[in-house]
Amino acid sequence: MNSATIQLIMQGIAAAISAAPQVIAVANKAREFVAELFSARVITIEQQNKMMAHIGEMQAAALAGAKPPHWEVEPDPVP
Amino acid sequence: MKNILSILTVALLLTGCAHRLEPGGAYYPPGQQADFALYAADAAYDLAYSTLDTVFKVERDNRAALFAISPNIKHALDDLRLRAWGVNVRWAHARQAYLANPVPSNLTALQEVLAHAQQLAVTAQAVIPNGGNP
Repeated sequence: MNSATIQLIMQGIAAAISAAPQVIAVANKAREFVAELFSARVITIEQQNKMMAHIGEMQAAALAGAKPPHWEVEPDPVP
Repeated sequence: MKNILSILTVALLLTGCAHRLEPGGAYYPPGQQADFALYAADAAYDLAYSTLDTVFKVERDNRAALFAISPNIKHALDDLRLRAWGVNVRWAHARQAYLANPVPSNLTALQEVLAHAQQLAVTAQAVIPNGGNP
């Protein structure tokens, strides 16, 4: 295994570590979503209002064309 | 996480008629019927959007390393970025229409856009593990 290959593997590991907190956040959201849908408990006023406000902000941003920077298509990096 | 969005789509269908909303909330206003279908659609869209957002952010934050592993990762996600933003704008318009006029046809339109977003999210989350081949 040459040094370039090792470097690529190390970069891949660094990328995975860097991504972990974000992936965990999405996984937690999925878990909460499933729990809410399948559990017998009532979705409270507070939960409803929080969801409506959050989704309302997403909707307003989309209608205003407020695209996050990481959703933009950018030129390929120069090696 | 693989295929979790597909499972959630089934969950959405199975529970779409349930009424477990506390009266008085945004989805069950006083004097009106509960709108669990909208709540479920909103929660599912939030999850699909979050998945796309996370994949796009992870790739951008680690672009140099991932591009060195395979340029196809960025290229595949760039294609999805364009499509996902178009779907996001369509979703916003569909939701706006449903809120203004909450009839079944508008709910169906909203759910169709949601299904499209979920498909894109499933595709996006497979891009990095598969080296750019969704």
